[in-house]
Amino acid sequence: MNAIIETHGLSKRYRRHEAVHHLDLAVPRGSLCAFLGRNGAGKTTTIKMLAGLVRPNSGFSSIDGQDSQHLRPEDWQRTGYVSENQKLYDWMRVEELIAFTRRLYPRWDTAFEKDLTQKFSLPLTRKIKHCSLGEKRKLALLLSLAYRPQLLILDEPFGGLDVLVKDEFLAGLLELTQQNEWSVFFSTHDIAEVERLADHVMILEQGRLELTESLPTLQQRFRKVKVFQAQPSDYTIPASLDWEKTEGAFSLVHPQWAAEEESRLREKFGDAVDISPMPLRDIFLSLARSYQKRMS
Amino acid sequence: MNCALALHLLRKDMRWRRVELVTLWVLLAAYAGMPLVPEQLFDSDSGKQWWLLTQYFLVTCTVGLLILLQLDFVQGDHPNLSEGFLKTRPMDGKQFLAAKLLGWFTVAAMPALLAVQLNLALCRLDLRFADHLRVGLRNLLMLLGICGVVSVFGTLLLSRRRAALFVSLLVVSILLLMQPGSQMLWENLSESGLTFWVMEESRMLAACSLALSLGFVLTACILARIRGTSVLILLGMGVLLCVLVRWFWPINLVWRDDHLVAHDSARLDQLKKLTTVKAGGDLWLGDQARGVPSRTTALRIDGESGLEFPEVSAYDVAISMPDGRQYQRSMRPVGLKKLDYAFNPIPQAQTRLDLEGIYPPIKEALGPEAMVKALGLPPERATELREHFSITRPGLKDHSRELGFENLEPVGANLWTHAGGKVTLDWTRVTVQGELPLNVGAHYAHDGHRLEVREVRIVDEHLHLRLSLRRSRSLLHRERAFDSNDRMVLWVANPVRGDLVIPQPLKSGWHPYSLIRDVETEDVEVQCFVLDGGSYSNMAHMDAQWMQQARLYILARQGIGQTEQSFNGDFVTHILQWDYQGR
Repeated sequence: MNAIIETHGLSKRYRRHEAVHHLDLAVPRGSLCAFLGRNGAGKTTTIKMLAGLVRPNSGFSSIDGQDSQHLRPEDWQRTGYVSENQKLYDWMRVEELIAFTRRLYPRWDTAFEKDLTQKFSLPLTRKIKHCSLGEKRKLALLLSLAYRPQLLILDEPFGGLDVLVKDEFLAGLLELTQQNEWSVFFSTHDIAEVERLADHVMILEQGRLELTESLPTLQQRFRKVKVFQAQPSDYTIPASLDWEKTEGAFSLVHPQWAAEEESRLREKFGDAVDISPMPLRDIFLSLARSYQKRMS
Repeated sequence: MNCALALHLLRKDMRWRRVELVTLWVLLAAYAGMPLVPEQLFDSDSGKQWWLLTQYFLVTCTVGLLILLQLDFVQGDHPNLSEGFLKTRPMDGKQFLAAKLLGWFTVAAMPALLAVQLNLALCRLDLRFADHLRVGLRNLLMLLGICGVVSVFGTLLLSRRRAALFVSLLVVSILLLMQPGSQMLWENLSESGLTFWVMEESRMLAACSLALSLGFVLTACILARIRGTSVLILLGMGVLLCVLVRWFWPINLVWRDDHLVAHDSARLDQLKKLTTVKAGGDLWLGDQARGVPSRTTALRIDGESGLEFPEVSAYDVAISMPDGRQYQRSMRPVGLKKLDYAFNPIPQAQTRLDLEGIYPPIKEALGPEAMVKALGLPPERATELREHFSITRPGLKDHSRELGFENLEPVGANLWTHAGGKVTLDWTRVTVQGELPLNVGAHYAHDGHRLEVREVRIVDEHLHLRLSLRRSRSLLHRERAFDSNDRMVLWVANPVRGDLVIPQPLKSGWHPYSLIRDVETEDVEVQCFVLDGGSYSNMAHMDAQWMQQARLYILARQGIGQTEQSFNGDFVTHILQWDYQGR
């Protein structure tokens, strides 16, 4: 696989707390990879290590083959980064910060900048300290998009954006990635948007990578099975998640779904079985609950 | 380095801290313009205190702002503070840091250095270019030191605490390493004399500043994530540089070369023949076995009544008893160990020397008759006794720690022993540098000195003058300006009446703001006595007309060279608490 982001045995420890544990991941080039995980799973630490802002205790990470602790100016010409709480020079006006950042990039696309400014409805003459959280977030995104980077690393990009802007932003991002073959690696809690945007998913749990898979494969692999009759004594439940039993019915989440499994179930339960594909949100919840159970 | 990028960052930082920068520039302008404020405005005690308070406030605010700006400029875009906004932009870390530092130096540090120079220039001291260079270099080094301290503390506060702590410990260790031990000082003093002391402060200042700025370089390396081996190599080179500077720094940053040199070897040969040195003094020895407390003091360079012995902890004393037996006792010096020199034929009294020293130039102003009248000296002595000397290096090189005593009768009485050595005499000649009328506001400036007449009055037929003496002096080096050994000697004379007047200082004190500036200002109040036949007299009638005729002469001492004089002499040794009965 041609990976744009790679890590090998990446670990970070803050005193006694291990934020990231021996992380091995590879983000395929040209993919929109969602980096999911609960609060405190180590997503932001991983992203900061990728951006060279935090030094790992052990392991190695690279962006486009370059050690992310020693990224060169030319690497940053091709990479955009927006952090969760991106600080901007709040004493500047919006247009001043755009002008300041523009000078740093020889390949800055002014037309694209204007386009984004209009799309995001940015108040150019307003001081940044007087802008709303959403406006600041949009400005930070603009500053990382306008030079058309090949890779975008976004830490919680949807936080603080209203529904309309979020929609616009997602549409724009999708359009851009399709046109330019960009790679986007983003962490988020907004799973509904991930389903729309991402084509690859990674789930981090307590600093460990629990899952890395393309979204279609993942969705194909997971099925919600509901059986409307009591569990027969001769029926062995396959390895499943979220197994629930009520009077005269039981349900489970099957993580390794295959066509043979469906025929086996139909053969056993006939019409009393309901098999449905799962949205990403439900898959994530099932997985999160299972991780939680395992940890406890 | 990419200049466009450096300018771009500088413009951004200047806009960011424009209020602070403008405030700093205003404060610096106020500091630079301080000499233009008439001192008469603050003549009263409370006025002086307010003026001092204002200046302290000014200096404190300026230094505080410089530190704040350094923190803001260099550390303001630290990834921890900005969530990596600039760190994740196409910029090389080293280039970025260099641009930031250059920006801070250009808009904050350099104006500060210029303000100090301007302040000095406005004092109108007629300074040499070398002195301006010295002050500039000294302040630059001090600024580098402050910069290093601020960087280490800034890093300590922001991130990388362990690294910053390591750097600060390292810097402190280097500083401690460079502190000279007393033994080391002593050895150097014996070898190169006063020159060592003159350079010592400069070398310490340069080395300390470099060590502190090394702290800045190291923290910058840590922030820029330069490889450990490179940092270690840099550290090694830095330490080596500090040690080299500590011992071999060649530029005198602290002291001014006050003595103008007009070498006269022919006259020096003559003076060497004319001068003889005799030694004599007292040495008190106590029995070391009894633990008599002793005062051991390091060698003093000069003194009014003699020179002290070098620090010797114990003397081995051989004592011959009347019955022929001999004892070896270890004894230690007790009390002040003085060795007096007598210089012949030059009289020892300082006033006398001063009078004779200024004889030739004053003679030219007053005429021979007046000199006979004033000093009571025949004019032909002027050619013979026109130089003044001061002792720069007492050489007690062949002074032995072993003392032998004979004829111990009576025991405990004074004993004579012999001491020999060499002494270096610094010869100076007095020349008239300028003359001023006795008018308020009259001033004279030459070679780092400025004299201004502030007040002239006659009280009970005595002339009272209030003078303001300003001179360039480092904050690290202070001494009284109105000193007979100083380069500037003042004299008042009335050439019309042939009156020569001795100014006697009544009151003298520094201006308080001398403590925060590189200029020392001293207010001197003098009462003048007419000299008549070599003694003070109040007989001359001083009035307004006398004052109009009188002139204030400014004389300068010019060094003409050194002579080394050998001396031999006996001195009295006192043995304290010696009891031989039981031996």
